[in-house]
Amino acid sequence: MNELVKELKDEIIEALNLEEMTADDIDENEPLFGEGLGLDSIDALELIVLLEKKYGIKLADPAEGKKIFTSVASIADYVSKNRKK
Amino acid sequence: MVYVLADNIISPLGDTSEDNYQAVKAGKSAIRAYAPMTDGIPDGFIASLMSADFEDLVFRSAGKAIDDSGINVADDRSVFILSSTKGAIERLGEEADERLYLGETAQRIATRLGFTTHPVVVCNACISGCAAIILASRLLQLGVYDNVVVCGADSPQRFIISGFQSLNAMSTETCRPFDIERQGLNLGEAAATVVLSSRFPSGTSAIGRSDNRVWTIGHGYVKNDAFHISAPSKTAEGLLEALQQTMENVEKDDLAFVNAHGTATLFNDQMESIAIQRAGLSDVPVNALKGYIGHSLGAAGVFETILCMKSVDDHTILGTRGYDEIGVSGKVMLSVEHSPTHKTGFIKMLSGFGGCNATLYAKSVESSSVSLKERRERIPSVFRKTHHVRISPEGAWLDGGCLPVEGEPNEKSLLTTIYKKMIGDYPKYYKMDGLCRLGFIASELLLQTEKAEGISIKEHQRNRGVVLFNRSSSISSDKKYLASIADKENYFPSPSVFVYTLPNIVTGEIAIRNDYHGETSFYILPEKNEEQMQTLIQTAFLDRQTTSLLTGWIDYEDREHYEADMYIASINKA
Repeated sequence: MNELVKELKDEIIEALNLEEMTADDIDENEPLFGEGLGLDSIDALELIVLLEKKYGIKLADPAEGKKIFTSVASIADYVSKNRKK
Repeated sequence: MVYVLADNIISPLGDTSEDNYQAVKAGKSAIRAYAPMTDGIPDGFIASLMSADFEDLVFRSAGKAIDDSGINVADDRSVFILSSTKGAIERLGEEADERLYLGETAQRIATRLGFTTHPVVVCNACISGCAAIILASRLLQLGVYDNVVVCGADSPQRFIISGFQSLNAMSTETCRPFDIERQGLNLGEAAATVVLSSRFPSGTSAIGRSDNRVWTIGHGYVKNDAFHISAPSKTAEGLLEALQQTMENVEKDDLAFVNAHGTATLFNDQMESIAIQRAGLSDVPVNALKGYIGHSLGAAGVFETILCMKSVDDHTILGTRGYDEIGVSGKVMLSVEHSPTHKTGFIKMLSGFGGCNATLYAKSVESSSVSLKERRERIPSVFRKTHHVRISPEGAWLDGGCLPVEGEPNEKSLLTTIYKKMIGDYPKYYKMDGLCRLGFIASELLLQTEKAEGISIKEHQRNRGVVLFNRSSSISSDKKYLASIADKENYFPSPSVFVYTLPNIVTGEIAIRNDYHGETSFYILPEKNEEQMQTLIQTAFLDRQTTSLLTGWIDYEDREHYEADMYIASINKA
């Protein structure tokens, strides 16, 4: 799981152009949206693309994303249970 | 006064304005389901398309309207304005990039139509059509031209459709503006043209009307939310401001209706309802036409304005196809079914990515009531230029002095070096595409010099606009986006890249950073032409709330080819 968390942090930094951040700067339990990293609605859509591209997970209902994208830890949990690649 | 001499619409509903109006009045729509793999797009979608060639479509619509108007486009008193978000972008990769630049595309069409003056492309995302009519009216009021032909068009295929899918903005059924169950928009393809003139049409033959009435374009404004590049302000700041200013000299009782943008996305319609309520227009009928024709992007403002004119001529307030039950919190009086009216004016509203909003007032008047005395707007013919910034891969110059920064090849670009050394407090910089980074850095440098003079950013929140020009549109992001959909096996359209394929996003980024709520406009020209730019900058000052602009040239082809040449333009107003 720890490996997946680290991998996700790196993927998120790259996908969302969080250029000045490193994986260590992201606390996997902190909220990604609103406070925390301050991500916005386009970032959420970009995370949906990331899940599909990297892990073969297609979110049928984007509203699902809200729960999944709460934190890096919650994404890791969802990915480990649903990944297809 | 600005008169409408002629108009044309080409859409899946017909090849004339009249055909389109009659189809809409009969409740028809060409919105339909397209199967998976249409245009190589994996998922199916709902849209109203023709699969036309972009240039041919514009040429046919503009040509027909020009013929009907009887104007001579070959003299230097006539100009062509194209309103389009993406032009012939669907051919990217098949043709030389330069041929697809919107300014060059417009130049070829203008030449083919017989114009001898330089065209302008208004590229302000979804508000382009109204913004182009507003620009045309101002050019006529200033007396720069006697006739302006405004054609709005977009031909969405794989590039544009996949982009809207990636933004999760498309409805899986025919769109339902303002409805509780609305789930997004349908794209539409169209070209629509109005021929505008400061000269009163001589004889009814020019306008083909027997009722002795003529349409006039009153006035309109463009304002920014300064909130987010793709999500509208929750309190409708920009649209409210535009609406209020437009209503200043308009009697509410004159309005037959307010024609909303009504894309049927959750956020747009909600925001519009808030603007209408806050502007005190809750008791004026509101309709939206996307359920008949889809969202025709750069054509929408012209297409829908023409349908509104036709419906007022027909003493009809059109119903809102697709609407059933109210699904917005602002108080609005939705026009559900067609209903009669004898009022003669209307307001057209549009909002778009980059946080921009446009409103336009038009009114039909009796020919006999028209004063033939020409009244021209007076504005200071010369604006002051203060502070100048120039950035190219060779270096950066501020007010003539070279900045002590150099790009570090293979590591950081010159722009990022400047960001780190001289700005550094806006991580969103890293999310921007090259064009936005360039505009952001240039504007920050200009504002630093202003700040050093003791001028606070807050002084300009309401009275400063951002008006920028270039020639290569958003080519760098266009290519990056195309790469994300080029490979069938590796097809992952990127929503964040797609947003940046609208060049006017740079004006929105600057507005957001500085909380500027004034006009934001992006114009694409065939080439850098100072004289033409000066004229277009002057039109922005016809919005009397605007006293200064961040303006100039900003072109970004790739890391090795870019140029910012921007300054602050100001006028003194009494």
